[in-house]
Amino acid sequence: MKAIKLLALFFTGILVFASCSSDDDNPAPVNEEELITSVTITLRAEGEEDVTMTYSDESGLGHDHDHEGESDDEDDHDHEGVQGVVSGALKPNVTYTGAIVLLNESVSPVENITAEIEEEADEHQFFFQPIGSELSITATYADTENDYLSNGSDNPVGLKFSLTTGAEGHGDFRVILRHQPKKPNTGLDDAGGETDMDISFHVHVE
Amino acid sequence: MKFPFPLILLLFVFGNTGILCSQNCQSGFSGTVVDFHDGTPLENAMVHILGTDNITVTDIDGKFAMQNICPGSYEVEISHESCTTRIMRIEISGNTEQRITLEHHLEELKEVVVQGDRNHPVTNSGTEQVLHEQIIEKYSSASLGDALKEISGVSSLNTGSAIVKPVIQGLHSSRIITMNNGVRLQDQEWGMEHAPNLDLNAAGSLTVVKGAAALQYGGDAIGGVIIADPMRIPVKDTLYGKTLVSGATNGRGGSLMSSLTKSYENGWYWSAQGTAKRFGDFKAPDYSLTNTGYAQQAFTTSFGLNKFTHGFDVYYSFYRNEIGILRSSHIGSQEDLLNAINSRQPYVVEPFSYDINAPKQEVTHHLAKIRYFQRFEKLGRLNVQYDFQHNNRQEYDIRRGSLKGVPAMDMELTTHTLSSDFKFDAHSGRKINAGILLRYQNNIPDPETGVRRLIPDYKRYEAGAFASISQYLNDALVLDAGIRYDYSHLDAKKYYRKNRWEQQGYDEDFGDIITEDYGDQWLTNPVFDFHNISGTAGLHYKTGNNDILFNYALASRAPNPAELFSDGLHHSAAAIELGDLRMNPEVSHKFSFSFSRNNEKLHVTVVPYANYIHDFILLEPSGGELTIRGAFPVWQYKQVNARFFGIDFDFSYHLSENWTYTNKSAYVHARDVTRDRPLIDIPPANTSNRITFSKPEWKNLQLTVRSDYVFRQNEYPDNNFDLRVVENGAYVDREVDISTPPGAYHLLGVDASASFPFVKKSEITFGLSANNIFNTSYRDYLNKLRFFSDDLGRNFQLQIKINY
Repeated sequence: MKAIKLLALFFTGILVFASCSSDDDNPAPVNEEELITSVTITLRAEGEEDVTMTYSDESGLGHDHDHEGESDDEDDHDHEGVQGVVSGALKPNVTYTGAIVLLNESVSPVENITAEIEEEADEHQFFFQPIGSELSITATYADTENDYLSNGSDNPVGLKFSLTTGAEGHGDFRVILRHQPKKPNTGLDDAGGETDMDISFHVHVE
Repeated sequence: MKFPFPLILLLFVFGNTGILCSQNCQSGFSGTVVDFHDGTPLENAMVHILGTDNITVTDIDGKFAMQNICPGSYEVEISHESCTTRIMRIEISGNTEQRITLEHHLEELKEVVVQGDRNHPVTNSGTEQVLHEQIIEKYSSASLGDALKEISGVSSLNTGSAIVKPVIQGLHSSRIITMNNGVRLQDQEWGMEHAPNLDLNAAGSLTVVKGAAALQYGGDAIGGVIIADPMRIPVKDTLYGKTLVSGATNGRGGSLMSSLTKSYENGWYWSAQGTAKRFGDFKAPDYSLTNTGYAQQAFTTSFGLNKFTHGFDVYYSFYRNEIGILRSSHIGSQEDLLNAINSRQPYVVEPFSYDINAPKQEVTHHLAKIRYFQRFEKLGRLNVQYDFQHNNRQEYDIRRGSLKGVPAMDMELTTHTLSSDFKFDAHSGRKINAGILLRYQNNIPDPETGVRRLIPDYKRYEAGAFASISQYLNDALVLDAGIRYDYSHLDAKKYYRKNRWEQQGYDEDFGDIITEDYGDQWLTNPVFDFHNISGTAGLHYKTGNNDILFNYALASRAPNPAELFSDGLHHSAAAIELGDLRMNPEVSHKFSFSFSRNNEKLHVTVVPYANYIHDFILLEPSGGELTIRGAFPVWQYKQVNARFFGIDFDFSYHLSENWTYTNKSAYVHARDVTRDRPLIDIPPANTSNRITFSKPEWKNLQLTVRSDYVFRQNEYPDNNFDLRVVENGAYVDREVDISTPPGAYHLLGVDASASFPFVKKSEITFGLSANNIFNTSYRDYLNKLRFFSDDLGRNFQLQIKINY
């Protein structure tokens, strides 16, 4: 009858378990980390006014419908990208130097994503894509992994870039951040990886 | 060694009785031998007073009588051809009368404590199939889902090659109950990329009940029940075990499995078994599948007592795996998905490695149980069981900065179950089984992940009761019927982002469950009560070599936590998954019919079925959501009415003494009746042919050629959508084809095995097999990674088994 004793022991065990698990504490809320809520691209050129391109998802709800994007562009449908805001027009035939700053403002203290990208420069790359036949701009990388990691690699990162404008016109300037792309690559098409950020800015060159 | 011993004993015995008989030996011993269960007299039972030459046999009324016995205390042995032999100590003086009970259900006795190599079915009229040890061993280095595909009508839903989820007649996940040694597995089975946390090497047999006819396990098995039973442990003094080593070329890894069992004549036993598996990156015909390696460790141990009238067992199993998920399958947006689909080959192809990096999943599962049984004379058997399970699932994503190495999902699911059932088997033509169940489950997602919980904290209380009967109507016809009631109470604490809350329309329907305001999130307390009735009825008609079965099963399944609450980014699925608080239970009506004919040369089974499911819950792509990452795929749980028609076919024919041909085929046709369109993720028709040559005289030589043909699934819903992308500096709309199934494929394989005597009484078996011999490039419709890469290429495997 050892078995019965054992059984009794186990049932007592269950009761203990059951009584212990009756805590009514609320689970802690989770704020999405690793999120990019704010993007600031500053374009500078000697003698020209600075142009900033910004995107901000104030609610910190990055994985959801973006209210700004929707209200700004009525004809947008879901499958088109997120639209940022541009402070002013670019001048034609000027070379600007660009710098990108990314923040996660949904957590406190604010998380500096730019610094994280610098630390993992070999795992990140920005891509720049002018869209539309009426837009004449070219973006070239102005940094390499070596600038951040001193790893001897001349693969581009894109936190710094230069933007050269051509004739007057307007169109979308799309900035994409890929995490763990194939490096080196010949461009977006063969980079692969995971898109961490994909924002278009409607720019005017005039 | 063994031979002389009884002789000595015999001499000693005769010498001894001679002395005893010279005393006053006038006593008599008489009585009746009856069946323990129903008290039926047993004819031809042998009664032997050990140590004397007093032996007699019972008459037609089970009566026996012996005279001229010297008074004293004797060991009496009572044996019957279909019963367990029993030895009792009996004081004989004067005229001693004794009623002796014998266990008449030998097979069942063995099944009680350690259910073994199952010889008799789980249900009377449900369609079911069993895989025995030999086949399980063949899949030693693979997974449960791979082995189960040996059964017609069972396919698998894969995420790569290591995460294999069984699909029974087109249904999977929460619609399938997995029983591991009598314990219902609670391992977050709802997810499409959550494979059963169970080491198939611990199983001595695997039974699949296709449908909900096995009510004793649950009322919600709309798809079916998978029952993994450990090896049967014999009630005798013995020590045995086996070791199995496998090595495979694809993945450059293998597995090691070892087991040892000790049992005693008096019913005590213990057993231990362990498995370790390790694989590196697998390979498709044309490229390496980077980050698809995996590691698995599993361990089980048990001990117990298997007595005639009572017994118990204590069982513990540990299972842990770490599975890498194809690096290139990790995407961030719909555009990434489009690129992956169009590129037709993975972006990241690195040289072979054993490293398992993110994305990956790590799962640990503990299972402990204690069971006690008691037999009651002329009544039946009582079982009482308590089991405990703890499941920890961690999914790692490719992350940045300080979150690297922190899982994106980390959930702990704890389950306690107390169950009891009573099997009334005293009446020879009727068996009744009734039982109750109480269960408590608690899910705790770790908030430290920095990712909003996909599944919330919840507590679930369940209570169930069932009763079933099987009754012989005449010698050939058995009727069965059963009913079950399940109550489940779900109490969750869930955060909803306010905009999601409104978008889902919850502000109107569920305003009263909000408990706290956290700025942009509501804390809510959804509470659900579900009452589910399920039932089954059927007939089994057996005549000569034919078996005809008909079964109707009504099954009800309460929506699982994923279907109700999912809300957020499922990293390993690279999609936002949305549940719905308004989900109703699924109700299925399944009619199955089975005809089988078995004789010496031919075995054939045909199983047509129809399954009507009301409020069938499915997860479907429903467009995208705009995020900073671009448009993100959204998958939403929906309910429709569904209809499944299908047929499973098994055929085997002995062409000659050494040659056997077998075929198994399955087809299922499933439709969403509500929207009149096909259902997603339904296995395509498939057929397997095998020719086996076996010659026991030649070291048990077995040679098999396998041909597996999987048709293209032509019935699929169109979930394609247009995506605006940039090509050559301009916006264009491109269709993202996530619907079109891949083409048909044919795989050829061979197996060879032979056994040789090994040191002492052990035996060594060598097995060599080759899969996908022609290195065919193919993709499977039910593999979630089919968008990203081809399936596995050629593989050679060597297996060495030592039985001792």
